[in-house]
Amino acid sequence: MNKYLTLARVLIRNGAMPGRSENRREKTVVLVVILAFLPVLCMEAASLWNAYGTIAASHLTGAVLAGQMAACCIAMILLGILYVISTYYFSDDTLSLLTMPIPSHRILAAKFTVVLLFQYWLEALIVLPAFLVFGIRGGGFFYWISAILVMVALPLIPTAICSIVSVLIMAFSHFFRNKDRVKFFAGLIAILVAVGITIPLEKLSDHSGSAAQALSSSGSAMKKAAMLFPSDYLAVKAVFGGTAVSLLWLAAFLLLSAAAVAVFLFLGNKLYLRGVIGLSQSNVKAKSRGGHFQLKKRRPAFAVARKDWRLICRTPAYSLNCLLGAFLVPVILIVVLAFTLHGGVTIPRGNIMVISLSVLFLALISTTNVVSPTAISRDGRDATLACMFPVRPADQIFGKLLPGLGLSFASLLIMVIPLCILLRPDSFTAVSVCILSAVAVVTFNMFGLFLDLVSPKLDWDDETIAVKQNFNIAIAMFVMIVALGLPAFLVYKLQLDLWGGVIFLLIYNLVLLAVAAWLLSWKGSMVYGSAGLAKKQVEKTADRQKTIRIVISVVVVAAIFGMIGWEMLFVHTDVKITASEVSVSAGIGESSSFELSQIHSVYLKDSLPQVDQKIVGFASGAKMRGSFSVKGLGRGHLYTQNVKGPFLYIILKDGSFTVFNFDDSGKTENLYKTLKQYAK
Amino acid sequence: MIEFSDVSKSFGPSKIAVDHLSLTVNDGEIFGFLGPNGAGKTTSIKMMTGILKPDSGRIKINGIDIAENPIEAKKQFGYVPDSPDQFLRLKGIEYLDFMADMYDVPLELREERIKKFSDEFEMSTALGNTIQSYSHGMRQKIVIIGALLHDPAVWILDEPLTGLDPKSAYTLKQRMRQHADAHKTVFFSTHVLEVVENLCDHVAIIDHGHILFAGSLEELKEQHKGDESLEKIFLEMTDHE
Ligand SMILES: Nc1ncnc2c1ncn2[C@@H]1O[C@H](COP(=O)(O)OP(=O)(O)OP(=O)(O)O)[C@@H](O)[C@H]1O
Ligand SMILES: [Mg+2]
Repeated sequence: MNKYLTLARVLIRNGAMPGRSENRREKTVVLVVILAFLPVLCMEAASLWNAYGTIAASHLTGAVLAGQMAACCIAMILLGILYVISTYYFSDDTLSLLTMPIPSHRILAAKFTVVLLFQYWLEALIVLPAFLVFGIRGGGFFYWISAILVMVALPLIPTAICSIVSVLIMAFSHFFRNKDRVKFFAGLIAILVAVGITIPLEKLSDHSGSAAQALSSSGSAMKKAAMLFPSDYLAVKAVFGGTAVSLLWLAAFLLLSAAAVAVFLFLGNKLYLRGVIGLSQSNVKAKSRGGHFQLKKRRPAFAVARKDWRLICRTPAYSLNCLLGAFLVPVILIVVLAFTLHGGVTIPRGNIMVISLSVLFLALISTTNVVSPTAISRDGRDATLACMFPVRPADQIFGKLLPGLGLSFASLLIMVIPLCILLRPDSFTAVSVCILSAVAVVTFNMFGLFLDLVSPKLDWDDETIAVKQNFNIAIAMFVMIVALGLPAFLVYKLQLDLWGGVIFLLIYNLVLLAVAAWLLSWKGSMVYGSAGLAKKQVEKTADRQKTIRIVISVVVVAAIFGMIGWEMLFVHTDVKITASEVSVSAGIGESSSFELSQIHSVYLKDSLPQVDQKIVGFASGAKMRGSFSVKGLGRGHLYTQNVKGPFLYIILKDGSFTVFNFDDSGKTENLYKTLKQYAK
Repeated sequence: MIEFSDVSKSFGPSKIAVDHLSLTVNDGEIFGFLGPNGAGKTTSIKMMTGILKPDSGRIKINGIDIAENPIEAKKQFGYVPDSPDQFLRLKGIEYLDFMADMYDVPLELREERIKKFSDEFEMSTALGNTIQSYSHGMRQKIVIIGALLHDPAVWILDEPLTGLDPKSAYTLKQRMRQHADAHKTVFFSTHVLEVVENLCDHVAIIDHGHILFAGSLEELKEQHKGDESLEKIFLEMTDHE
């Protein structure tokens, strides 16, 4: 036992755990991340708190908790697999531990502990709020006892499952004995999980129809989810039993968890060595195909580009970020757009705002491949070697620029062609958007490369750092949004007409292009001419980069939550009635108006409209502001505050409608009386 | 021919890696660059190759100033860095093709030289595998082949013999000798004193960024009459107590 504890402590100290560093700055970083997650926890807790009455009344506490625990277990398994495999097999200490006289099961137990610590983070995020809320609202002595023990033991089973699966895979499958392959598939799973989580969330928030109905349907969904982990039923019974008998259930749950770990340690003891040893043998190729390579002479720029391209395709971290960014993101966007538009929308003809905003959007998405802002960083320590080649700086830079340009233009094409079919813009709009966004794409690839030349991230041991933790990406994005948002704003403010606007945009973008080209050639000839890549400088900026990155992400998270909170708590719908029209404004960017003469009928009803789909706007439970599609009524505007009636329905002559509902029901009735006189 | 005149380089205010170094390496000689770990050898070599920029001073390769005419100067030399762990994702043959493109080697010549060198260093069968799968010595050999592809006049080698098997080491030493005999320049750093004794015409000993000695091996032995072996001389010169 003692030896196990020592080993576990060494592994954790050794940086196997994120944030277990002696470094004070790293500690603050962890603290900041926790602070950033607090709002999420609070929101979760708050919504459960509000819903507790309904949940308890319909005897769903057990189902909800079981569902949350099951969801947590699924997340732990899916996200844990990568962590398990890299901790057990690919971490630096693996081989050196193997040479020491320590039995496999003790190594595995220590590594299991490291993974467990990571899983507690997930648990805190997903089920901690529910445990706390249910406990405070209705828990007794036995609740707290069992809840704490269940919380401690909950990750054991999923982590054991992950561990057993990975030990089996690594022992028997040759396919996964490759670090790159494992990383690639694990990265893919993580992306799919992220997508998989957001889609049901969207669904749930659309389910604003009736709270009780949503609850019962999600309750049954949760029951289904809980079937996956029967052990969680034991846990729920233990937690809500409330008597000494529930301690029996608790004991059963703990025993089951312990059994899972024991099975893993038993299997691991037999199979761990086999996997690790297989790992160190798998890199050897069976056959060498030395003779068949076709040598070919290329211009230096193309040779550089070809080398970079190979690197992108062969390094999983790069393919995931660069290739998926270039192809997957535009395709997803187009598919989502195609589904939400239902082919029903045509964009305004010859509208300068449409042109300037489309350029911003297209250029932004076309550069999500981050190839150019990471072009130097991706080479890592090899980057400095490029400085010794007798190649003109212009050639080196052009070669570095080519892969990014190619991928950006590919994304641009992927988006532009379907957009032209979906939105049917007039040819003038189409041509000017194409030209302008092509210019912008070139500009911002150049600018990204310039940034990476100025402060590349070269001293890494893991390629992911070059493409993920590279602050140049964020700067490039930010500058791009400002530089392309500004002309859109100017065009709007100055009320430029179509031709004036397009000429202004063209000149503006060409000037940007010239500036970017000048910056790039200035820095490029410095680096590749004589100065070299300053290495010392890089190390210093890395720390600063980290701090700035954290600050920015916290600000962004805080801003998003601030906005959501503000929308939820403080925004009120303002209705102004003038001589001829009614104008409504509510919150950020939600406004609409209709003419009094357009009113067809006005009536009060006690039920919330049944929403099919949110089109644009804000929706959280019964709070809805914006444009929605409603069962039986079609498309129109909703401005509602709560589920309590009355609801004021205003139907216009063109078939569209507006529904109001204020916290103060007298206000709704007053508005009804005012508008009623205009209805025919 | 390599000329350092009054070259200095520091990393930050307190870390002076190379301190007012002046040195001339003539054509037709194998020049050994010796010094304890952290003496400033790699830093000097990186400044020669344009990877680092000196804080002050000039470096000329075959009479061409690396700061004033970098491209011409860089064509003069082939460089083997101290760590061969580079371009790991490329296959050996792809790496060589890439290096040949960088140095503008015509197609027939590159085919011929790749074949000749990879046979000589026994790398022919490994060329189709990625450099990642190579052993340390194999990586060292592929880097050496890449540096020699454009038949440079000046060879700059940073610890080229570490990790090579006896036969490859012999081949490389042989080639170094032939190159110097053809009245061209070989400059290399090493920690192996027997190699210096058997191979070098001239040596320089550097410590803490200062040159302690530069001249021929005979002169060095002349100065230190009492000591019979190069090892003793070296230890004595770099002893700080
Ligand atoms: N990028 C860097 N940042 C800061 N200091 C550096 C850097 N590179 C080298 N140094 C310092 O410069 C000094 C000289 O280093 P250099 O690599 O030239 O030594 P060396 O003679 O090649 O040693 P070895 O025999 O170990 O290869 C060392 O003290 C080292 O710490
Ligand atoms: Mg060195």
